[in-house]
Amino acid sequence: MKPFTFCGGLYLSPKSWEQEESLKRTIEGLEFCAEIGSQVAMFGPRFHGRVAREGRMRIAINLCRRLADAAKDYGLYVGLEDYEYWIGDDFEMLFAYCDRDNLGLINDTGNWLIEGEDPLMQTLRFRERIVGVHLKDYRLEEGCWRSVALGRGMVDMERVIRAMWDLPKPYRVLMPTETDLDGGSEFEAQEQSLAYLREVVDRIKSEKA
Amino acid sequence: MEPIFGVMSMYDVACNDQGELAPDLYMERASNLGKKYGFVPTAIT
Repeated sequence: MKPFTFCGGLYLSPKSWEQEESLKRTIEGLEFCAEIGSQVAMFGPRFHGRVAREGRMRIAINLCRRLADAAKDYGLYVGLEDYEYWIGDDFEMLFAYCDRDNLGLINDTGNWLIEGEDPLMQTLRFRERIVGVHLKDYRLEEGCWRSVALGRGMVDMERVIRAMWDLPKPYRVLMPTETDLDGGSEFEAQEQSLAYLREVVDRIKSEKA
Repeated sequence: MEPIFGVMSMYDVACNDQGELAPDLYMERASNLGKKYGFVPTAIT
């Protein structure tokens, strides 16, 4: 069993005490992540309606820098998932201004679609920053992004996996399949995903052998 | 380095086939699925 663990969330609030409180709790979460043997601690931003885009970025840079510094003391990477809020340009700005080697991206392959980005292009763009992965696929149906088994949606999954095969990290990056169905059996979808993944992995390995 | 592939179990939202929360059952079945296809079980908490 490999842990893939959340350490908390950073509140991008206009109230500085709320920012600090969220940072404190998230730093406390790092200890748990380190204790159970995680290599990467995931965290997410929580937005506030009165904070504009520029303000979010300013607050996030301050908090993410300090979180990354605290994580370094535990020998951890901290990873921010692409999820709903920010697009690729935002991540690029955040990584550049934070300037911390152990701050990285949890590359959720499906979520890029929701953000209006191309998963393969963003995977290639942030290849150096990927510290963890959620392998997920979506299909757009009647205006909703529906979670589907890998290879059955709109993500160019095999190319995305190939792009992440030899990531420049000193550890083997964990890439779990993920589904978030609106109906039907998660187990059936997971089995379809794993069968697909087995085919792709075997194909890549045989080419590299 | 070559990645490690796994099957993710989302512990806090894991349900059985009836849609009821059943994280332990989900974890066990997800782990078995991972082993069947030669991938490591993983957990997200």
